[in-house]
Amino acid sequence: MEDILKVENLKTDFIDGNQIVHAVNDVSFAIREGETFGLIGESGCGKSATCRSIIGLLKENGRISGGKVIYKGKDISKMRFREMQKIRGHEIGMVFQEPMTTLNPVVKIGVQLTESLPEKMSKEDKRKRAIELLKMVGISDAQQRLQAYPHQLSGGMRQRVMIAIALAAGPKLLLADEPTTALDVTIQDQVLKLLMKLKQELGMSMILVTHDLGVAAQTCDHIAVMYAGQIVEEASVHEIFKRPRNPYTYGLMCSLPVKHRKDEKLVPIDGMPPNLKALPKGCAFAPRCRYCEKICLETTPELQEIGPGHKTRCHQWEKLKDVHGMVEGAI
Amino acid sequence: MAQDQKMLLSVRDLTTLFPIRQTIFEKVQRKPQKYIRAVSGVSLDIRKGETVGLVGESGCGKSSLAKTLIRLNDPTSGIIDFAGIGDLANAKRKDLRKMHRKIQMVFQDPYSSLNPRMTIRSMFYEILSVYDLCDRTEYEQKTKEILHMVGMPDDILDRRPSAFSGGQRQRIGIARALIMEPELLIADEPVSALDMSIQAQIINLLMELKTKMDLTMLFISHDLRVMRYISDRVVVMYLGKIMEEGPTDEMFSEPHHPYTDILIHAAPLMNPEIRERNYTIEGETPSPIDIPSGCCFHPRCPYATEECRKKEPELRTFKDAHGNMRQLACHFPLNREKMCP
Repeated sequence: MEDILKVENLKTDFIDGNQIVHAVNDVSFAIREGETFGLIGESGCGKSATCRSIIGLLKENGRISGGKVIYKGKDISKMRFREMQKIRGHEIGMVFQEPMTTLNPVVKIGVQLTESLPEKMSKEDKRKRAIELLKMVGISDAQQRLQAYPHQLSGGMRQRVMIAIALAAGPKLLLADEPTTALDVTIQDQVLKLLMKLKQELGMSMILVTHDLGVAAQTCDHIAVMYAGQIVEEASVHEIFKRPRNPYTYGLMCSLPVKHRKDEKLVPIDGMPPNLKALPKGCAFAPRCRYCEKICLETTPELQEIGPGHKTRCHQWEKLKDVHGMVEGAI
Repeated sequence: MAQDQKMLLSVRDLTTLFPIRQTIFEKVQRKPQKYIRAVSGVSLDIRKGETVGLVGESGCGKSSLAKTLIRLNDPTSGIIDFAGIGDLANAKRKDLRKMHRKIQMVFQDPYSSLNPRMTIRSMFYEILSVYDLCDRTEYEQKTKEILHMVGMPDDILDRRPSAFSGGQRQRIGIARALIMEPELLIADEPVSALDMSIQAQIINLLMELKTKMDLTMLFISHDLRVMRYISDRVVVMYLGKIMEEGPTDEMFSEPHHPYTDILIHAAPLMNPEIRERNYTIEGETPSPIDIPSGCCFHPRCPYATEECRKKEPELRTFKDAHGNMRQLACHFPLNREKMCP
């Protein structure tokens, strides 16, 4: 299948006071048509910044300083605002994490839904389309809901409305930035199922940004793990959950309690995520890594292909063993 | 955990209601006062040395219950009997200080639970002097000791919370609670605001301190994975009520309440090979102001019948097939064959 989106050596900087923070540092990946691509990592690892760079919605102090974002053969990272407006929302939609802060609190749901529809559409058609959209995302009594303000809806409902807005113009690619993080588990499950169903029905591709390994395991086809602004491992979902070949990925998987006995201690990753303004020399993860050797502190590892479709950024990847038993069965 | 252990905290029929403020018009019209039902008729025993997990979705009243236990909220009715102190529910404000030495709490958000203007030193010295825990000359020594216990370096005394990351702040929050050497530690979602690589560090620390300081713990979380690992007993709450309670392993392997079953299955599995799961849950948690009739879970329950809509199930105590005492509030329990009358 063809690649719908290709990100090549993307670099995004933020200016903080008089310092430059490299939030995204040389990130490359490709998304095939119909695929769900997971970007995993902790807060500040650059996963949201990557997403926002793709769609050109960086905050004022951020800018893309290098690389390309190629959507259907065209580099959209250097496009003018006008041209980008045609793609944003229409070709590429986005769902954000916090539905309360991304919906306009003083505008009715119905108006927000129809905003991205073509101007030449008649008012009545827009209304019909809005009702259709709300029904599609599983909101009952859609007609009345059009008149509601965001605060009158529950968290799960708001996220459904966000999804409806993102899908209004029928995008081919959906960027979902932590779409379920603010929701309860039962609602999270409903929203994820809805996203997967709609993706299938509408033939979309999706980038799912999440910090939850469970969510990634359940929804993604392909996964990239980010750390300190870089991709440190990339593989298919089945491969990465069986054979993680980066100490960071491995550490994350082992630090979760999965059928541990009470007397077994959890194995945490020591230390804390690095300060992006003062990255250590060599591998950014080295100070926290239990496989760290002299070379790790001196030279930055490259992202290398170690198997079919499996890339890792580590000098010591051969030392890592397969994960056994931990991923099977229920919680 | 042994059932014959000494009882530490015993809660009976605890109810906390928050009145909804009425507008002047509603008052003139003499509209009936409405309440938010935060905690409703909760009975719970915590024995010395055990870890009890309190689980439920947001708005189910788990934090309200915790706050009522340490009287940050005042209960509407009920009894909170703490061994050696007596009833906390009706204790006077000035008697509460005695209780605070025995019960301490760690809060969810390490960013808002530490005063940003106070240095670590003044924060701890204040506690030591207010509760008169030791002689003034020993303040520094004592503070350094407790910080060392939670894995913080001891040269941080003159810094402020803003100098620390989320995980470090949570360690300071834990130290602040433990410097009183409490008997019961209430941990309200202590890891959910932290990055995933830090969560395991804090969980390990809590487990370690629990053994070292001989603590009893009430652990509140919405994460069943963490819950299963850390607690001896689990209590499931929904809309202010206890739905089910029992030993952790049995609760997970043989849940009797449909809601417990759904919670267990709703958490996404860490296994990409198993994606088909045979269950559904419709709808969302209703508002705690307009509680559904009968069993409050019936609008979302896949097994609900007419009886569930009309009659509210009582919280009953029963013995399961393994001889454990459990509590359940459901007319039509799952795995019924595993229950003894």
